[in-house]
Amino acid sequence: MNFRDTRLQLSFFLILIFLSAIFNFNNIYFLKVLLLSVGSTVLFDLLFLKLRKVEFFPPTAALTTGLIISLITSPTLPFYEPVLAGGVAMFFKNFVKIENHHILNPAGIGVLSISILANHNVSWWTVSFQNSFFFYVFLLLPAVVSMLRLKRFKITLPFLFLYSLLSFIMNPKLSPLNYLTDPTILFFSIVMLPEPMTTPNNARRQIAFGFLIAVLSILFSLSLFRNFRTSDPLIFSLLIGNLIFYRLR
Amino acid sequence: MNKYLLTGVVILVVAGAFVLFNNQGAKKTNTSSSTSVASSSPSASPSAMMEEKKVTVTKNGFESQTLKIKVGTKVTFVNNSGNAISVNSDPHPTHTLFPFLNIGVINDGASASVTFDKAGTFTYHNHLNPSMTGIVVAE
Repeated sequence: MNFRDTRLQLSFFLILIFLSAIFNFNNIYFLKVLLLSVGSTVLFDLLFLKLRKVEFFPPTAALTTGLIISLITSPTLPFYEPVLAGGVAMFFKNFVKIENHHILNPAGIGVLSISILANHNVSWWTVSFQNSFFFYVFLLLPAVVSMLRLKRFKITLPFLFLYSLLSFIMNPKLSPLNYLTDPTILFFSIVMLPEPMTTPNNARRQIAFGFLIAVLSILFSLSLFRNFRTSDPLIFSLLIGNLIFYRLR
Repeated sequence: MNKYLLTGVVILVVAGAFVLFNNQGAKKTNTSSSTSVASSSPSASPSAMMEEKKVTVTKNGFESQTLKIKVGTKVTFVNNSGNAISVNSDPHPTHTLFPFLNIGVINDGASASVTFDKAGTFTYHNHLNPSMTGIVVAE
């Protein structure tokens, strides 16, 4: 195993976030969602690679996807939901692709499609309780990989800036700092938003992509879309952005 | 460019620390016990302060889903759902609308209380199953 692999490094930080959640919720049984998500994602990836007759390679991408699914899928859901989310994620990663690049964020499409089928919202359970500085720093650790090593900060920072500004305009009761430092928004913008395979590589397009997702997220949060309950505004916006930008990478 | 990035990360950490410590300070003044959160307001009458209502959480959700109370009433959430729940303010997942309603985790069989000291319509949900939603109307 190559520990300089950015996916492995990101996975390590995601495991730390998961363990901090277990500590915070004080419920060891919540580990089951980690085992189910990661297990199913890795197994489905290996199965689909075999079906595609692709030579075996370590499923580090599947590991990262499984970890993201476990961090945002509630551990109180039936066991088959994280398993199916992993299966859908790997199906899209392996088979829904153009010019050997998958189009949609795998964890995003896996979690969102199952939440729509099961008629509930996405939980974000491990990434919205960071009410102590210790846990807050844990949440920022993946930025070492996504922003420093992969240099995707031209997506993350424009998103955070515009999202905070627009949120403040929509609800000025809270300061822009509150929106900027919201744990869910930080996790989304640091870990999910800059996924390298489904986002632009060109600097200007990265900035445009970050701005677009911010605008869409606010738009889909409006009461106008309230009846559209099963769509999580952040993930839904990310997938729309992936579709719009898949030709503009 | 790395300098700018590092500056950005430092700003984010400092801003986060500021917001978190600020919020913790506010929580300390508003918390009367480990399982009870109260918002402060001089408008609540002493008689209303004595009132208590119960919201039971089952597998089907919050019962009553819409609860009408007088200002100053203490509402206790009793978790009989068979799973841990986390009561949090809308909107999901940022929980920013009514910060005093961010009660957090209530394990199965446990309960937690919050006092509604201001009039208004307060919407909340179970963060571990956000489709479970509830409304408290304080008049």
